[in-house]
Amino acid sequence: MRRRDFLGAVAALAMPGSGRAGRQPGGRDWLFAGQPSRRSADSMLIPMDDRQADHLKAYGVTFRALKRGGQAEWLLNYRGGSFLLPSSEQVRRDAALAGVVSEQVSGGQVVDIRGVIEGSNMDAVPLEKAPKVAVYAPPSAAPWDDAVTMALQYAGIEYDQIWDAEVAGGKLREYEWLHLHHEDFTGQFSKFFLTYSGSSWLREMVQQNVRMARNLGFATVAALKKGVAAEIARYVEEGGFLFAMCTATETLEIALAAKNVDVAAQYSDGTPMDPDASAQLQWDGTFAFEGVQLEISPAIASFSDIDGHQVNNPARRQPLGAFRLFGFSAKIDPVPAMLVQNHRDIVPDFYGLTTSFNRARLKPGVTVLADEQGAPWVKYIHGDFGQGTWTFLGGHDPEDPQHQIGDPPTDLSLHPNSPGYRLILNNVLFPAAKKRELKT
Amino acid sequence: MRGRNVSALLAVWLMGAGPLTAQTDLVRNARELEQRGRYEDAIVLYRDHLQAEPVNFQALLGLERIYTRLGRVDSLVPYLAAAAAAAPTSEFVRELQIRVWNAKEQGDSVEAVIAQWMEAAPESPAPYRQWAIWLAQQGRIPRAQEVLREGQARLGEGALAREVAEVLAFAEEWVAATEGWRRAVRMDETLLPAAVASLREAPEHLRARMLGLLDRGQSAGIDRRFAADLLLTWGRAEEAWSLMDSALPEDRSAAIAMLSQFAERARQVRTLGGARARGFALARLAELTSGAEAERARLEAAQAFADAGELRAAQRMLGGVSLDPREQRSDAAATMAALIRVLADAGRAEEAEELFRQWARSMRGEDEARLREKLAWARVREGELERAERLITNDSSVGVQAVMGWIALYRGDLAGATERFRAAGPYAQSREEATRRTQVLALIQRVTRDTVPKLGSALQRLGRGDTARAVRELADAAERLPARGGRAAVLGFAGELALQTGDYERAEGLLLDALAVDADGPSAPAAQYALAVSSAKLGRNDDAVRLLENLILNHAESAVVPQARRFLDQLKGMVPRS
Repeated sequence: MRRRDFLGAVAALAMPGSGRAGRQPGGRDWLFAGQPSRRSADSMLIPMDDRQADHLKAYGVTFRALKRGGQAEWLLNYRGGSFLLPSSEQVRRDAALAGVVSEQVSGGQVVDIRGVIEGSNMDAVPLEKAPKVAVYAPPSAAPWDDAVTMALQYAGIEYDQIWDAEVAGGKLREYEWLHLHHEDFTGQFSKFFLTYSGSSWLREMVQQNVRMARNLGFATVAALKKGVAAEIARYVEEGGFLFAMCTATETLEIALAAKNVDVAAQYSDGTPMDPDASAQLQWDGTFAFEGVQLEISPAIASFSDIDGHQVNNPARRQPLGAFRLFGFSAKIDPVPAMLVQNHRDIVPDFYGLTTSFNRARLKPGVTVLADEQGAPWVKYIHGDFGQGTWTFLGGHDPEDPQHQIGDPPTDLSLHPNSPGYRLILNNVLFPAAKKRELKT
Repeated sequence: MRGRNVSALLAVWLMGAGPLTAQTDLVRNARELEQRGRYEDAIVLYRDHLQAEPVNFQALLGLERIYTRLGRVDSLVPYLAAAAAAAPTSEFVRELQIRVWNAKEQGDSVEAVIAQWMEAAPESPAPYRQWAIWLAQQGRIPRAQEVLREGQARLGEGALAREVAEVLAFAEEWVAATEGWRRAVRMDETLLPAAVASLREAPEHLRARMLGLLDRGQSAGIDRRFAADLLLTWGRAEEAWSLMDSALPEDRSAAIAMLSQFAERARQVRTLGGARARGFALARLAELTSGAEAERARLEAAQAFADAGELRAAQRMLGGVSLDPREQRSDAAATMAALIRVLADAGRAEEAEELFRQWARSMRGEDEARLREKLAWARVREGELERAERLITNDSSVGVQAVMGWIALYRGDLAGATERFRAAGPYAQSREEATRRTQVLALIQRVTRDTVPKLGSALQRLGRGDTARAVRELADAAERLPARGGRAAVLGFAGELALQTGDYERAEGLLLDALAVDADGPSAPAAQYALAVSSAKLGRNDDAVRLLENLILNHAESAVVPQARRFLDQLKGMVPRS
């Protein structure tokens, strides 16, 4: 048997719906010998409890089913937040290739499941359309630099990478869901100047940002980022879904509050930070925080008192604990309930430039999705803004709690059941939910 | 880590506490009662003793233990106040007071004790030290640093240098801590081990800057030794030796002491580099010493070099030692055993066996048996099966069973090899050998014939490292086997070998042949996986993806599936390529 024959036979088998083809020309009936028998079933349940072998890819299987024009239901609080999909050859094949555990369920079994859901703190939310996803990140960023792109990549969820030029050009409105990479919207390059002043990557990052500011007609990078922050706020106000992690959360808020205040250090924009900056910040146009005190020293890689853990401030650094996901009523509060679907309630914490959010700085009306019991900070928050919603998760990488610059990228195939990464993927699927269900 | 560091700090500093008074009968009786759990009776005795002698350390510690256990630590306060009044400068009493107030979470009282202590002993660094420790434990690092600066301003920079460095390291200000330790160690060289231990956890990316502070053009010898010890503790033994070599003092006896210490520390590194660095240090030590001391250093250096796989260096060291097997020196026999091992591993079985014949009688029985097995293995790899067999005839250990299994296999006696390999179990020989044995066992178990000399000689060729020819011979041997009686398995095995050597075209041909012979047998999933890898190597990622998908869908229960899934993820860019 030669290569072409062999691969031809394999390709025929790999085509969706090819089924068992029996004996093939050239005697290659071996290809079909091991194929599992198929029995007809109405639906396929993807359990998300401890039976699931790969929780993260399960989101990808569901996303792709929606992308193909199919429909799905998210069974909130049912077996860890399971998915129910119409059974099809394509979905079965996709799940098998991804190593995602799925269960064929008959119409009668679906009725039983619905009975359980009806009588408990559970709900079935229809998922209608795969959201169009954008990740705000510089063009030079590799997917392995950021937990969200790693999760999307691993789950096989398509996304576009956009940056300042696209935001300035009004492209944001083409997307349903926007993730902010760990950008510093104060324009201070994450305050890495002291520790990494000689590093080529930092030089490159600065040059790239300065070039972009110049191209878009801004005098400084700080001014450019304020403009981008304002565009992002407008995007959410008009109905977009925003998800941000790590330092993007804190600096986005500061940039929005600092419209007419210089909050950038001298090394960034040529003028020192306004010594009275904290008092002049305007918090009425921000998403989550208010009354924040900025970190004035350019030498301390911390931005404000929003972050509870202050990882780069040795005098104030707090040790990592674990955070607890709140339980919500699936029928009354489906949005927060979707965002916290998980097979674990307690999740080990992880550092980022912004690790957590000081409870005292939260605006009234912010929904806390997870906190550390007894600690003055929360980890995961959510809220509405205009027609849209925003969600902030502190920390950099749920499976690399002490992440350092230069660490090897996290390989998610070693963490297929990561509860921390599930939180990220909950956010990606949440905009797929049917609108009427979201507005409660 | 922080808690552990502070405890270590505290433990080290507490060692400076004054000597304890002799135990009186009363205290001994109280201790016995305490051990029997009769706490109230013990309290009465301890208290009685403190009435007569308020600063009795044993009694105070006894009361602290019991009251803490009973949750009544308050009751200790008046006894500590009496002790402090009687001995206001006693470090022991003050530390105990701080401990008690700290346990009660009364920070103001801790600070009051320290103020009293400073007043009573204005020239002592101890109150500053204890205050700084307590603040560090509270996470108040900047305040701890301020206190130490105040202490230095009052007592001179020489005082508290160690503590300044310790607190900086505790705050993970690694570069500043290195500078702090550099100053402290220059004032007191005995602090070097503490300095190195304190900086051990410094992150990788800061280490070059830390070393830069210590190893500059005009650095003092002690700074370079400091840098060498840091490198050693970070596992960079050879760089450490280069620095140490350049930092050796002129004074011969000081240099000898430093070399001995370095060699001992390098022994703990447990890497080839560590063994090599130890060898260099001991060789230099041999140059600086004479007579029996030099001879011992050479022997140890030879063993270290042998452990590092440095055959020539080991032999050069032995050249300077007059060795006679009849003297039955255990150190010489141990060195020779190491040398024989290295010779055998290097494929110099003849020389190894000659040395073994000379020294075998000086060796311990266990060492001798292990060397026999090693030598037999070296002979097997050379293809000298009869000579190998003669070396281990009367031994039934599992290691020898494994060697006998290989001998049977290379003779084509598959049934005999299977029996011996099973008897050897999974732990004989090295881990790599055990894995190789298991793989071969899996292969020959799929061959339905008991004896296949051509397969044996092909595997022997493989064992001797001639993979390309082994692949051809395996393909040839496979032709003589029944289609489902081992032909597919051997062809698949040959294909995987060709893949490993980078001969992807040949690998692809063999693997396709294997699958054509038996597409659903037990060796098929591995062959398909290997075929996917070769396709990817040949730049045909689409083919590889289809093959992997086919494998996952049609052999869902195969042990290869997780590997296939991971490779599929990599090909699709879903996970980083490691």
